[in-house]
Amino acid sequence: MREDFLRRYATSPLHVARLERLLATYGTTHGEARFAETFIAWDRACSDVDAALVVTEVLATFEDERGELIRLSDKAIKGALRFLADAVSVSPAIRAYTLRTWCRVRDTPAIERVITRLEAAADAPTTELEQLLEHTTDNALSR
Amino acid sequence: MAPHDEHSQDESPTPVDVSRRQFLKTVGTSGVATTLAGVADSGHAQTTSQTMSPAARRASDAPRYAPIRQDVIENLRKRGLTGYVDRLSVEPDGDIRVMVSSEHARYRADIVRLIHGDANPEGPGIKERVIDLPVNGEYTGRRQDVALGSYARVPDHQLLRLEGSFTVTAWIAPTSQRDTPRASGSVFVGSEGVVTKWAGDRGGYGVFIDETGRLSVRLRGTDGTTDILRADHPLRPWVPAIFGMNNRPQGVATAWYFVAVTFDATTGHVLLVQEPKTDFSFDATRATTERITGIRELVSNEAPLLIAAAGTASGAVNEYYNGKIDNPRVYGRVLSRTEIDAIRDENGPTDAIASWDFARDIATHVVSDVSPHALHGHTVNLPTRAMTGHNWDTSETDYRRARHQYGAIHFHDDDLDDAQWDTAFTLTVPADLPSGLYAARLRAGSDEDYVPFVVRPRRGTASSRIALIIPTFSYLAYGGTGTSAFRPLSLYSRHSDGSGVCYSSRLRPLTNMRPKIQTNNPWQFMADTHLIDWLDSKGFNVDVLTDDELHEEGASLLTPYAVVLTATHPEYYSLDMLEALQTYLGQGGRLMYMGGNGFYWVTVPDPTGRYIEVRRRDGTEHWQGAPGEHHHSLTGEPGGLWRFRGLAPQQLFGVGFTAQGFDRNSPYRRMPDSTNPRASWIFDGVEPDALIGNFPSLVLDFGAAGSELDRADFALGTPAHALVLASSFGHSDAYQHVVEQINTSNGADPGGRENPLVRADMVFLEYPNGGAVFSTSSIAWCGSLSFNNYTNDVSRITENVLRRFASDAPVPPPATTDTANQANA
Repeated sequence: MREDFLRRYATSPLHVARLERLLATYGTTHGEARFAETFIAWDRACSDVDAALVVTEVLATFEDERGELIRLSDKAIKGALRFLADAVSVSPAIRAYTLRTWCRVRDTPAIERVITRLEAAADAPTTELEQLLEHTTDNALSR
Repeated sequence: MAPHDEHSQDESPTPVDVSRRQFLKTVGTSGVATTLAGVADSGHAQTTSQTMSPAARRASDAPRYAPIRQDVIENLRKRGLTGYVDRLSVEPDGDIRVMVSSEHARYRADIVRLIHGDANPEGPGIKERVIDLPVNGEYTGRRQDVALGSYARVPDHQLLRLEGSFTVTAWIAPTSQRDTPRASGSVFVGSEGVVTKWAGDRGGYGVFIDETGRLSVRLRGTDGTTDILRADHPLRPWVPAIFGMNNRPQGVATAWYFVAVTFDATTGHVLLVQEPKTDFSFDATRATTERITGIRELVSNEAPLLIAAAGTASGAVNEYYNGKIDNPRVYGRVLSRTEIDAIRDENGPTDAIASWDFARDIATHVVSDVSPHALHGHTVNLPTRAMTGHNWDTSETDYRRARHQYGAIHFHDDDLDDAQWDTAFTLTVPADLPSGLYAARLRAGSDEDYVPFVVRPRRGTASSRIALIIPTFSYLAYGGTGTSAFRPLSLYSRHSDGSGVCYSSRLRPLTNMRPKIQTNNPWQFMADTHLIDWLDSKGFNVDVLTDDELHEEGASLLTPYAVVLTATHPEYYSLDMLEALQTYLGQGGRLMYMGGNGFYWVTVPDPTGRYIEVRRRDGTEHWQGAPGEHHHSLTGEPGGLWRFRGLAPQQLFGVGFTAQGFDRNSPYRRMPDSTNPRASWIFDGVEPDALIGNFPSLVLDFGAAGSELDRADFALGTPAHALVLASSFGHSDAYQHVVEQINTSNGADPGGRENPLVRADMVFLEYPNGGAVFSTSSIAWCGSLSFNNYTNDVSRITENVLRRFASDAPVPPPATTDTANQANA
């Protein structure tokens, strides 16, 4: 499963090191293979063909101010997948761009806000996902 | 692109410390392959623990095979709507067919002209213009899947309709590794046809590898029963490449078995012989199994004989085989053991019904029967040819010089040539439709897809002084089907058994050759629309050409143009294409090389233009081919990098691939040559001391020099008079010098923070007769063009060069050749 995870989400061998770091961070509880298996199952269940790919790319670079990779809860990961897959009133590129922008923050309060937002997305109705996007896109685009 | 492995030192197995020939003489090829692959059974010369690093051992614990077939089909369905065209380039008045698979009952199609395909909100966004054409409209949708898997098909013949005794022999190297205690979760669970004339309930016979990895024979009797008789011991699968994502997967020599199956219709006696090609007499897989079946007479059928697959009662094909097959034979009688051994020893009986010699017709799809019956067939879905056979002795690596040693074909259950979808609609290109980049835009519900194609000028005509070459060969090389990750079925992918993909066809959905891909690192097609958009925004009238016609028509295609632009990453080039550019430049043409890592891999298109072939070796790459398998099957010419063919891109364009990394781009700093009067006009309107491209980019967020970088190298052929106008700096250690320029791994050059060879060199050089080249040396360059409403120094420099190159005035050669630039770096 570990190998399958790398093959599914690495866009080139250059990205394997990042994904290995991701697996090491997320595999501390139940092992890397278990996390890989769970994530791939979420991917298979996700309606968007590229959502999981974008999520792995974003999570692999979501670091705190010390440069440590941030370990999101399962709920937050599922929220990220849902956000990318289900907020369909906005183009997929904008959704991906927004998620990338959210996860560029480095200070603790901002990180906590992102995590709260993603966890909320896991259960939110689609309309709320889209509202969430509208609410944050303006800020994201004002960089 | 040919990514560098950041951890190859840690992950690679320790090399076997014996000479190749001595090792072959001692243990045969089985031992080499299985030991290097880390799946050694007990009894091999070296154990896993002795030969593998800890990291490699960890990797060996993981399942080794990838479910390519399932992934591709699943992902295409998930897209809801996708398609492909029957050609990537079409002339006015020409027809282009569009094939569509839809999960929706209805969908809408519109032909659009694509201008900017990157939806990144930091840039201009999607720009497209709907072309009002009769084909635009609603269509009925239906699902069309891709039939992956290669095999050889021999038409039915009365001689093959066996009803009594027979013998089948072959050399095989099966690669499907099924569940074992060391490799649970394998994707290979079914049986595989080796030589079959099988039609399910409609009868027949066939030799298979069964679901447990055992040699088996399947018989359908006239009494209505089907009997499957299996060997006692599973075959040990050959692992065709060193596994792992983070080391550099490299092909390894083949581990062969000679197999024979006899059926005696008089007695019901069945013999299954399997002999590994190794001198280990105690190898448990060296076995002969005897069985008795109650069947005395076989039901014949009119199905074709298949090699590497089996048929069904309905005529469908399944049970695809993974691995090599060499010289399969069918006899219409029971051979004695002495006769069987004689075949193994290359001296068998000559009364075969058929004996296929895959060493013949290697460049074609034909499989030739060398028996008097001439029961020839053809391959389906591009299995790999020019493969080393069971008798390859390592003395030659060019199949043209030792053809009889290249009698193997490597079949894969995920090979694909033509998806063979039904045509959804056909576009007849209007006579007055301008040359450009177009697409069939498909929409249904929230699903959307674009199927791109190029409208080129009518052959022999030009409508502009400027041409842009869309790198369709490179698009094919990168062309994945399904997910964007690791591009299944592209030349960057590996087959489900780990061997590298050598052929890439355009007759399938190329799902990463699309606009609107969700990435901050636009690549190939989408990145090239940055340039198309800039040309459009600046009002340049441009003819759009493709690699296909450049290969086909050569320099005559370019002659009408004052200037030709490449796209961002023209990496895959044929010899004909390189010669066309060389001729064009010598005749006074001007070239703007608008990207990086161009002209890198030797590439061979098939004669129909349907697919390309690449044999990888000794480059910065995703995988490397096996020993002896680096010559292209289509032409025989050696594969690898043009550099190692003596045609380094530095010779023609002043620069060549030097480094890659994908974290953050850098700006350029002007170099003293930028003030040379020969080239100072390039910087008109640019602040003398300003950094170039030091601002946000649509490629990796910032900077004009990034992704993959080229550099002038006078040792590699950069002409002495070439001017290095600017160089990038400040790259991170994510940027590494290309492996082909590192001779030893110990003390390898550091990354971009310290290595002066990690940089992009902007270069200008003149050719005789008024020709010239301007090279940006960065894939990311075009991602900077649109910043600040196209008002920036990258845009300005590009415009200065394009306007000068497009003008009537020749670019004068330098007064004297300046040889001061001879020092490398």
